[in-house]
Amino acid sequence: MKTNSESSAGITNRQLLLSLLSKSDSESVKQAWESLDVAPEYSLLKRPEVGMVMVKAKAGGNGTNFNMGEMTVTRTVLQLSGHQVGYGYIAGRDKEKSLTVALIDALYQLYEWQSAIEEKIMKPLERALQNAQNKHKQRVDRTKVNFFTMVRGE
Amino acid sequence: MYVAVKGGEKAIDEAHQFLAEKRRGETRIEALSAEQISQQLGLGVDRVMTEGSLYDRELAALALKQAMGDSVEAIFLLRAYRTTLPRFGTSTPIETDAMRVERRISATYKDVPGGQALGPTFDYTHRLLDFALLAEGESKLTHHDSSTQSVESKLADNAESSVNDEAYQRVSNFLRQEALLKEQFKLSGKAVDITREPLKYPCPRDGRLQTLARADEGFLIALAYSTQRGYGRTHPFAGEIRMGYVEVNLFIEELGFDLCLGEICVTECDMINQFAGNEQEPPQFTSGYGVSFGFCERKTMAMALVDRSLQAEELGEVVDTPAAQAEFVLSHCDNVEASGFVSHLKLPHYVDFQSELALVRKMREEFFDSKEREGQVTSNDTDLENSLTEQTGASRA
Repeated sequence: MKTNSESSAGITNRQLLLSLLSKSDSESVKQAWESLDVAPEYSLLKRPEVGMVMVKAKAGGNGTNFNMGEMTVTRTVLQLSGHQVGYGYIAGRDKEKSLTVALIDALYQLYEWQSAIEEKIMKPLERALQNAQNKHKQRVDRTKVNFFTMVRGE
Repeated sequence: MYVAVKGGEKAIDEAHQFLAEKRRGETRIEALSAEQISQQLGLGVDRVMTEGSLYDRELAALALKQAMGDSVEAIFLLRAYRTTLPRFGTSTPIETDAMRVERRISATYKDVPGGQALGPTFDYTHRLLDFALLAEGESKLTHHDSSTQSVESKLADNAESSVNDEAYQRVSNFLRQEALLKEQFKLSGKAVDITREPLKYPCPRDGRLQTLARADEGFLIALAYSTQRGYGRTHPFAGEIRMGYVEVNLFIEELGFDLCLGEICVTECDMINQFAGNEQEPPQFTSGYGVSFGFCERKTMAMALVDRSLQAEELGEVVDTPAAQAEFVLSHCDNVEASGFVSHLKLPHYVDFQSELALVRKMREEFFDSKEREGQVTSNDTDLENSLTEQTGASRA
């Protein structure tokens, strides 16, 4: 069994996977997971738990860092029988989604699951997110204005 | 001093029951779901998240429902809830430059790179009540179907967006490139966290911004307005306002890299203010910053104005207006603290008041005794009091 080496490229793909999963809604994540049709054995290192993360911002968008307020986050950390550790940190309070994300993350570290996860999970989720974002951008762009300055007085 | 009372359990239970009935309203009217509140009263939800200092649309909607629409009560509920949760960590700073923009305007540059996108705004509406919404129907504007858009307007749109289809560059950077904007005082080290340690004065900017971010919108607007009317010399321009979605990333120690937790909606405002300069520095612009969860545009504008006012001391300006006095502003801007202290006055103060009553009676007795000794007292207290009032009035005049 060959595990995904933590090369910089590997990290990027794993980060991309986790980013796609966290941004997709629970239903899409659930469907994506079911499409793999697998039930691996695992043990929980951190049971699904709701907590918070303090969100940092930068003054003026680029200055001094400050704490702007917290957001709810659910996290799960689990380990497959082959010792791959999966992380499910997601915005909001959704233990089921968090557990599923952790499972997918752990499985993605197994070579034999990588292409299936990329094909059945990453590609469709990325497409769906891209579509939604394009639609959103088009809606926003229709409100773009050109203001004309009127000449004052004569 | 507050002395505890006991008893009244039955009445209190009944009052809570009554409140629940009142909250529900008439049962022939359908109950509102938290989802409906989140979707259709979204700006109320955004305010509760911002001032409750917890980003969670569903919980903020629930809080509003439970509080019968009372924002301050809902904010209190959310603040109380957040104390029950563990904190997993602190995010890397959000990158608002990379925001997936839903609205972006500038009041300082007409042709700003990236263009101006009005987004879903109340601006330019006529503020006329839309009676179509009252008739349980939908406003004719509710569903905008792009397929029904005229060809001309589509062409015009395409033309416009192709012209403006560049990244939304930060407006303040244009001034910065020309060295016309005073560099921000960048604090080093760990940011102050007012949820973990009390504010200390003088308060650094990170602590001020955190306090202002959760501050009461009404209080900040009043202060901001005071700076515009003359209790301040800030000459502001809304350099840029943007609202949209940003990623939140958390560094996981064991992994050695950042995880994306998802996207949140935020609004930010960069105010640009005139600064006359001083002996060391040439005239230039300074800036104030406002940011909120969700779409709280008015709040972010007010916050930016107050943030700028509170920089007075650092800029060597005279601190002689209410909005520039950090201790006054920061210690009174939190509506959970403020409403708590104001509201506590309605709790039973019977013992406290009894002692006060005894004291006033005693003082009056002494007062009249001394008057009597001086032979000035009339038989009628009221007459005396009236004449005293007149005397004071006269002496004042």
